[in-house]
Amino acid sequence: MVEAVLGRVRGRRPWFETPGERRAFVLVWGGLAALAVWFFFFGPRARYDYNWRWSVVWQYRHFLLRGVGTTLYIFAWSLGFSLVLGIFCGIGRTSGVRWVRALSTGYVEVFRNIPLLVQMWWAYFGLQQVLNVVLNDPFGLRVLIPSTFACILALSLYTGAYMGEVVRSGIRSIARGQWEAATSTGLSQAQTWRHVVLPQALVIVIPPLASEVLNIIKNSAVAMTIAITDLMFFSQKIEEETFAGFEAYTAGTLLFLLLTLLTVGAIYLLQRLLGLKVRTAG
Amino acid sequence: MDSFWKWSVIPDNAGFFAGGFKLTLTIFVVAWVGCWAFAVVFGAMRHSERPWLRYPAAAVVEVIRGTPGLMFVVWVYFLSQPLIGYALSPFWAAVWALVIHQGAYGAEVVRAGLSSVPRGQLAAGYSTGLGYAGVMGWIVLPQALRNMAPAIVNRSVALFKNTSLAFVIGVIEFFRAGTIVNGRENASFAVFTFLAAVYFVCCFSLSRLGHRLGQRPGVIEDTTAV
Repeated sequence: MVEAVLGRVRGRRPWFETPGERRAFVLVWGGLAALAVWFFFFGPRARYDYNWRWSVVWQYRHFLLRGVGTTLYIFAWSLGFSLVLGIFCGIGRTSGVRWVRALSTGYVEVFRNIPLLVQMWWAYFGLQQVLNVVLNDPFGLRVLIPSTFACILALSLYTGAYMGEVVRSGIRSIARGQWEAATSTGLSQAQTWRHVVLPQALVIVIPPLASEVLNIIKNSAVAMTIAITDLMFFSQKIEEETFAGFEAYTAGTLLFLLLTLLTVGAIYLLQRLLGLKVRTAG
Repeated sequence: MDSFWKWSVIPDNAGFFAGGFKLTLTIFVVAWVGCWAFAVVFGAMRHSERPWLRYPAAAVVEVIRGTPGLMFVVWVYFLSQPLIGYALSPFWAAVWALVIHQGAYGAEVVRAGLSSVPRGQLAAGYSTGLGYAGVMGWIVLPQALRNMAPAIVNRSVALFKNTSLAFVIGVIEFFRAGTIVNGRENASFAVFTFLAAVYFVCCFSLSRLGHRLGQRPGVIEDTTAV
């Protein structure tokens, strides 16, 4: 794979075509690098004597690992729910039935136009109050919603709305003639969806859907604000315990990057296993 | 019923909410300008045929795009002191984080917009004797902007939604104003429904505008859940 990538990079045009370009490269990037080095070691920053303690990252590795575990747990559940929601919503938005279309359009517009943070807090705090009013405090107890549930609910609804739009565009890209052909061979509407339209549409939308899948991981960081002990939460926890904020958050950021890269790899493998031509979004 | 749902906390705290909303708008406007400045520079670099401009820009944009926005806000806030020797205020940390994070997504919009203009047009422009600025300003940008318009609006909606992330580093913008009111009045349903409604009205009207601009074939939409 490394060879393939290198070959592709080499196979394109050479990095520099004229000595002038090489000079420009050295001047621009070398200048920027020199400026950064000067700034970091001799410039205004050097006045501030920051005590680097990268060892805390290793010291608190069990925190980070637990955070990765929770993030993956939320990711897995939200992925499943939002995929189902997205597929049904995409079908609903292309449906000929008026109220189904209105319902799915309303769902998409509402959940895409409210910040995830607000949705999550609504699902955690607002829903709790609603439940307690509706149930009228059963046995004099207050009903508590587990924050994991609120988080997965909000994340699935939010991502499902975006996935619905992706699936809809995939379904739209299937030519009308295919519907007519399927109907003329005697397939029912449900059979047409199952055997003709969806298998093609869902393959077409894999690249944009993949980027929404990655967005689940990134957006799950917001769950930290409702006390989900995910990677983001534990990065903050390390900062609180050691005051090595820079190191802790950098480690957290790199782990998030690693998670998204691994997911990209998994989707790549999935496309290869399905025997598809590998494409990426954007 | 009204006494339980406590809808009255909204008018009671109207001034506080208005202050928070004003700060949200300020963050949005300042970050919007910076975000597109970042986006134009990095988008143009990624669009360039020169590998030494394209690959470094691609690396920067992809790394930023692989990072959660919330992490970025916190990171910039805590990074400012060890890295530039000067502690940014929460407001400016939030603005810078949004500029860089949304700017990376914006750079993809700009790149897609520039790529939507056939390369032949650039070549034709150069052959008439125009320089880079002339080709970009007179030939590529007018066409690219037309194709990019819906994507720019959608990215602005995303930026507006993401201003709520400033909440984690203590900026008392609209969302944090809501959580403060909720903490005092314990009226989570009323407060968060109100917050959701206001955000919805702002974002929905913006995205309708983007939808109206995007009813032609060949436009770039850029709707992604970030």
